[in-house]
Amino acid sequence: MIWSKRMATGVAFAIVSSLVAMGCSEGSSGYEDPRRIVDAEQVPETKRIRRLTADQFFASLEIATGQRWDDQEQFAATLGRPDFAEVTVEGREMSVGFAKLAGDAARETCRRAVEQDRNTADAAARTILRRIGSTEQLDPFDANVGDNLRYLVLRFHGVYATDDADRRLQPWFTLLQDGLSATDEGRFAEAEDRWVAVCTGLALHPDFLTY
Amino acid sequence: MSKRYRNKLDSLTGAHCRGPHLGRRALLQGVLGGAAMYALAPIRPLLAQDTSGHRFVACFLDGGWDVLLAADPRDPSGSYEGIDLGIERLAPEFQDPRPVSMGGTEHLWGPTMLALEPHADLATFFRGINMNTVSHDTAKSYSHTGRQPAGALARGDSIGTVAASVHDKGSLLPNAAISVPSFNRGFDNRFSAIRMNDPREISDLIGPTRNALSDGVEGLLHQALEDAYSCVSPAYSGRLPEDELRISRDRIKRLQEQDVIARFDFNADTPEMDEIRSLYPINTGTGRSVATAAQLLRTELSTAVTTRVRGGFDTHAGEWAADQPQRLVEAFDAIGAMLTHLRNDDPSFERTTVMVYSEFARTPKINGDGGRDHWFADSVMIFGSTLKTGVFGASNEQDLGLISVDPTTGRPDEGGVQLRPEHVMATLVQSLGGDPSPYREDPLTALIEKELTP
Repeated sequence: MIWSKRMATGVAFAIVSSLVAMGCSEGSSGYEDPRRIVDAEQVPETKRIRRLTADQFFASLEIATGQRWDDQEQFAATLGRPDFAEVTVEGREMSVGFAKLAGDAARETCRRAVEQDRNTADAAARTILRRIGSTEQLDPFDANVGDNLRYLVLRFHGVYATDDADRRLQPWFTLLQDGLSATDEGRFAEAEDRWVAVCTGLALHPDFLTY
Repeated sequence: MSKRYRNKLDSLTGAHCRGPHLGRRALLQGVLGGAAMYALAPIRPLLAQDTSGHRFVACFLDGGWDVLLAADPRDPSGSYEGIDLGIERLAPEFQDPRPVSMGGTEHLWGPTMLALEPHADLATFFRGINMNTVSHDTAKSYSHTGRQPAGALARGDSIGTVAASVHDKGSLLPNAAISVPSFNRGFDNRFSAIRMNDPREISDLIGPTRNALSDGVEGLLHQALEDAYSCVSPAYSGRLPEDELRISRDRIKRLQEQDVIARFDFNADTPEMDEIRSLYPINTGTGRSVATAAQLLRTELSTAVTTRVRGGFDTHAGEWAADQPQRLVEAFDAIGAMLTHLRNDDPSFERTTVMVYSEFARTPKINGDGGRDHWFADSVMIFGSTLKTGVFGASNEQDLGLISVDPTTGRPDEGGVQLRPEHVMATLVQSLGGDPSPYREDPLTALIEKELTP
């Protein structure tokens, strides 16, 4: 009896609240969701964001970095590739295992990509350091750093950033330059590692790992 | 400018990427959720989760086991019109089942199950379960989830996922699956299993980062990923991908800080590994898989583990006579070792449940090639304290066929029910303190010794 009364009260509350919420149009609130790509209500369940499958991840990483992950076949099943004998469903969990192995894969391929770029004189043939003027002594404050970061977010995430002030570039600027100054002679020491880290970070970003 | 075009342009220029916002949909969801919680408040105690930190292991025998050599044997001195025991083809040690006392009643156990006999005081056997299919894929999805799949596609949640969702208290890897698929349709993503194709991969998953950068640069990378945000997230109606990845990164960091990987180095010269090597056949895949499962629980890294103990049971031809019993022995020896190991710190399994199962059974008649094919009437073995010890259900004594049983006694009854995986799972889940309603069958409450509710 008591339960029925509470249920009825709850349902009534829900109905009233729904009517109120439906009346709250974006126009009347004066606030528009700035992050919205499309109206969330228009996104059907079947078009929700999904993690890359194992093979999509391997292929994407190879295209983005130009390097193939040596261990990809070893860990393909763990990353969710079905064998269609015992496992017929693609694993797409954003699990600890996926995060760990994706991190290992990104670090390995990015390291090789940056090392290869440093030995490639023709800038157009480089993968990660394509817009950097000189790769002999990498400078985190190189005049072309912003240009190169814009190229990388376009390469990895398909996002066209028009200027260096774009918020999507800021974490990578910080990663490259934090704790250093343009006049610090020691700024060159970790520059290669920091570019590897930028590449790794872009490959571990949700905009790379999901679609 | 049309709204669609403007949105597309925004996505390219990043005009939409400025910060989070409590949208109309989120507001509506919150209000409805709050109303529902208020209305359902009186029944919340029934849904409440156990806080005892109960551990769960599901041991899968891959390929379809011969229950006549295991959980549903026949006395070879009897005659059975629909069963060919094939005694003359079996090695002497596999010819005679053994009487074992379960809850004060004697039942026959298959000749391959010697290693499990010391644990009969914890055992509940379900016999005569209708798997309703003889297709491997379909039966596997069915047996892992306890719900009839759509074709071969699992519709329910793996039992390990359910167990983890009920009992996890914040472990780093709540649910683990070794060499088996795992399904999570209805629970939070943190209960999705961490999957390993091989138990040795545990060292890659919880070990140090490969090709790690210097500590300082790794720290900056970590911070950059914390600060980065996803421009596709607004279209995601679940937990945001960046949040999922952040949780995983934090867990990896904690795993690495705890340096727990040493607890899985089975070749190490430590007293703990000496004990593990003395218990398990650690040089075999079977031994490694169950030892890894046990260690995941004993280290409290996981709450639930599902492991493929062994494959090779799909013996359609003459290899059945030698391989089937030998492989069953290998599997049961390893599971027996795990039960012993887990009883070291939980002697009466007050906070442990172990389930042993296969996708289906094998035919009672031996085929023209000297083997056994696929058969519906399956068995499941549970070791724990939440169900009454003994045997529940039965297959037809004469032909291993499916029969109806009284749902209160488990004894044959023409007016009763035919056991299905749904009955087994609903009963097990209810006893573990979970919600049995997804199985759409009433739990066999007469079989439940205790329910793990607060």
